[in-house]
Amino acid sequence: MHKVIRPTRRELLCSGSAGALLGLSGCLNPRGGSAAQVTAVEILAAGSLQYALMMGLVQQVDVPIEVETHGSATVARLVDSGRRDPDIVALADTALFETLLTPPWYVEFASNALVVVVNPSTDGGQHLLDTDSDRWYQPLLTDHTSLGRTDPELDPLGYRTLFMLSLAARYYDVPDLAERLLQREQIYPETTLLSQFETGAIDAAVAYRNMAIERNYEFISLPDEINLSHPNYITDWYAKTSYQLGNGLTIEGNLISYAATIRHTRDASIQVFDKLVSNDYLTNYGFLKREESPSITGEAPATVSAMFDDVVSDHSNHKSEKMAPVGMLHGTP
Amino acid sequence: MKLDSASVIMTLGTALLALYAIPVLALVVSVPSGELLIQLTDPVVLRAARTSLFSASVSVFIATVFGLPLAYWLARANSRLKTVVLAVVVFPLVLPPTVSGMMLLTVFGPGSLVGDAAIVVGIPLTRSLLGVIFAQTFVASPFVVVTAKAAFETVDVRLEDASRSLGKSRLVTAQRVTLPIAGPGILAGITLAFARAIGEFGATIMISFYPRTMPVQIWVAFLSQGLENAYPVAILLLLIAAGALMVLHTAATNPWS
Repeated sequence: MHKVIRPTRRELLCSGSAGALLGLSGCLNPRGGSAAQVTAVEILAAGSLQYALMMGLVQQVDVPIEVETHGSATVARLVDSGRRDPDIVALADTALFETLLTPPWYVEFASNALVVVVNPSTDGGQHLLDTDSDRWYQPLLTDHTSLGRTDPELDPLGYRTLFMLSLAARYYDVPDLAERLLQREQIYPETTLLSQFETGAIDAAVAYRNMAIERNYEFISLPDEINLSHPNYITDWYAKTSYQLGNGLTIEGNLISYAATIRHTRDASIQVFDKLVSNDYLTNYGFLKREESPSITGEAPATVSAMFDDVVSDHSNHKSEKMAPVGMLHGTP
Repeated sequence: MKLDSASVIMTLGTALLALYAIPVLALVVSVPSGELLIQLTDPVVLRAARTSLFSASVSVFIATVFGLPLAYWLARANSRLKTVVLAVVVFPLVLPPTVSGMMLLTVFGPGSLVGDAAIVVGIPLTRSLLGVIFAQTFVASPFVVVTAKAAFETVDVRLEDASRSLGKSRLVTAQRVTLPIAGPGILAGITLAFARAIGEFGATIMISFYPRTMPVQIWVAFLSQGLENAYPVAILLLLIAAGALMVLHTAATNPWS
């Protein structure tokens, strides 16, 4: 019966473990930053915008901002199903605003380009960097240099990679380029792709320009005809490619375009939105500014359209009739 | 060379230990100490560290208070229901955390009956510290229940019967007999639960991206600037978790009365 006379074990359980844990944290302020949560403008955004928004946008506004990021499709689904209720939604693909979320209006504010990021610390990567940049695809056709990409069924980067390769086949006049380059085992989820790339498991990967700039990757720039970044090449190049998703939906090649909308129109969110779409800061993070941006699509409420005080209707705009280019936003509250 | 059983055991154990230690060691070596100091002074990282430490502690406290009675019942009951209940307890262990997060979001998030009511009352169950604790408790508490159940089963029922026959109440018997004997096992469960809670990511990110915990902060750092940026935060998480568990075990094994 010796075990019975160990009353101190009770303290182990009651005051020792749980109590110690609570005591440990009792002195902490767990709600640090909670003041900010009360009035913060909530932005639910595409993952690629995370760094630029946190580092660039936060500096420009005096309203506290909370940025939450997921893949664009996830963001759209979270909002669509009512699981998230952010003030501002910013996505990496306008198609999601046309099909899934269908807000009354949205503003396109930046573009991005596909690049080939290269790991210089692997032999294959070094070989790729030593090759003429207008023949970048040649080492990738050999067994010595491995390329990674994301799943076209899961994220836009995946099918945009396919668009780029099919455009590259035409641009470089190598008709079977895509077939020779593409292998099933190249496919990783987006974040896994970057881990594999950084650790040297793959020599090169197709990625967005902003990823390369923000993370200091070495990269090969691709011609505008194939990198999906330039409005001049939409009709004759980008729109000539398409990809059919597993669910039967066909996606046409188009310009990479970031777009945002306000869901809760209040002074603070309008102020943040104004800075968000006036994309001076974005170019520092590798995004591309289009001459036409920001441009509005749809019917914005008066409080928002008041910000666009130098709207110029231009129905010859490259995208569609309903889109008109606007100048930089004015009138920050 | 003749292999004796002791060296075989040593080799097997060391191999597994190496599996745990080598990646962590590589992680520590790859990060310059200056980088770690920079992270240590970043208010965002510090806030995440505080949130993690606090939420994991509260989650484990809740798991212990609610888990021990359930574990005791599971250890002692003769009911057929027992197997069913045990299966329910391990649900959160089986489900991928992201799925757990989505389920909790569906039942307790905005748009649900409970979630909307909680928002009206002013204690939102998602996107709040409460949400973090909720996610961590859901995912980590089964470790307390399952481990404590096994610990309670090692307590000889006759010892409890003897205490009762000597006139002690159920509560006193639990305090003086059952818990002391089962203590080390329960402590193991609490340790596992704490480690699981402080490292919880999948469910947390679905329920509460804010306030950020350390794992969410690591994720954000990775998304923003890659592995190099995420590693120092990961090391900090390891240090905090190790420190907290050391405090827990010191407190538990050095009774002060």
